[in-house]
Amino acid sequence: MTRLLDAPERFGPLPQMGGGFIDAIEQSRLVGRGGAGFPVATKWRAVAKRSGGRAVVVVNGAEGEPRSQKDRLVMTWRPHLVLDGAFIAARVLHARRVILYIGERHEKARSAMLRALGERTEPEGALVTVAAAPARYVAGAESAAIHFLNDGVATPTTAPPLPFEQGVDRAPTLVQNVETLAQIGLLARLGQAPATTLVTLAGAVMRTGVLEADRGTTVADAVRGAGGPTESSRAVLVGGYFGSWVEPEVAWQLPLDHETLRRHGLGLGCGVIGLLPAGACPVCETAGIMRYLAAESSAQCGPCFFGLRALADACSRISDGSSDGNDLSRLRRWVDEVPGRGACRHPDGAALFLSSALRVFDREFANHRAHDMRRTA
Amino acid sequence: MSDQLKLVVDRIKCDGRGLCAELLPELIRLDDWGYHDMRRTA
Repeated sequence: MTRLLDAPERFGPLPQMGGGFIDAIEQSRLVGRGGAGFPVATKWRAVAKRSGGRAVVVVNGAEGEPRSQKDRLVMTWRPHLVLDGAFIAARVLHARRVILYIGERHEKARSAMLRALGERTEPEGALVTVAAAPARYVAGAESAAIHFLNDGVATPTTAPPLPFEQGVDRAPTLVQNVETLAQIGLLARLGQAPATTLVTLAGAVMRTGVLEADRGTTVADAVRGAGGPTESSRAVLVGGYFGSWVEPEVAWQLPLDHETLRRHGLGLGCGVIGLLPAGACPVCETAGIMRYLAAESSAQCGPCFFGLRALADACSRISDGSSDGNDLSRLRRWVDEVPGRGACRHPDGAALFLSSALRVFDREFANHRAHDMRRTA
Repeated sequence: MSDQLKLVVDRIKCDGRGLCAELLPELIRLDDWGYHDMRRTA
């Protein structure tokens, strides 16, 4: 089984493929690797049905999640595989445009993608344009990417219309993460279901960075593969800032695949696994991440803009010792009021993250004493 | 089903003035920040 990062940097010419390829994607049960974990075949079918030769393919390399590095890595080291996936999408969906939407700070990734593009001779190469995604957390959300490409504003929009109904240039649009497209490239070349997932290990681990996990790999295996923890862990953040804190003894056994984690009520999200060392303060860490998420609200929907700010402020007051004693009960009430209240999923992700903190760090939140703390996420 | 009405709110356009809750107090509750919380509607 060829893995993504061990694959040849470049295969030969693209194989011919038509609509039947979507069945192959369906059989592979590939889900999107940008964070939402949505089934790829479902998305492609919806666009294919409406395309009429007008569809637009957006290659999503915005990677706005602060701890994630895997999208940059795949663009930098396997740009041809990403282009394979993009060109296949363009062929199967009869697309008129392909847009490389790459984070403005990911210079190495962008130049690798442009160099690879210059080496391609397929007709799809002529469909490609490049856009720089603003370095904001929500810029990678599908509707924000489309909004940016249409109007230069990278904020989410109200659904409907969904991207497959009306996206870039008001045409049916596929927005697909770069790792997902690289997996599509492999699937087309090898005819095999992709069986790996890219994860980014962060925090108190010997070697932070990206790791390609085979199906069945657990968090413990991945951490071992990264040289083990630097010290004992208080908790593991599974799925990045939109993910959940998990007690270490539970986390170690979790398999790194979207389906199984979902059954545990968790998500792999963009694949970030963060180890919080026993010596760090979970309350202060959580407060820092909540301040970040509140600041990254696109400030369009009240419950997200005001709600996340209120949650972050209450966390900060507990963290710096200025709380009136009621902040923990406020947090417990507000954290359930925010999810499902925005045009996008930003408030949902932040609330999910905070709920896990309140559960796993229950003791620490109840007994927190102020200490000099200026660490930010 | 056909004679049921459906209330849809554009969350981005909503400025939280609270007029909806004044007009339809039996259906719309506001949260601590003055925005409609449709999930609490009956």
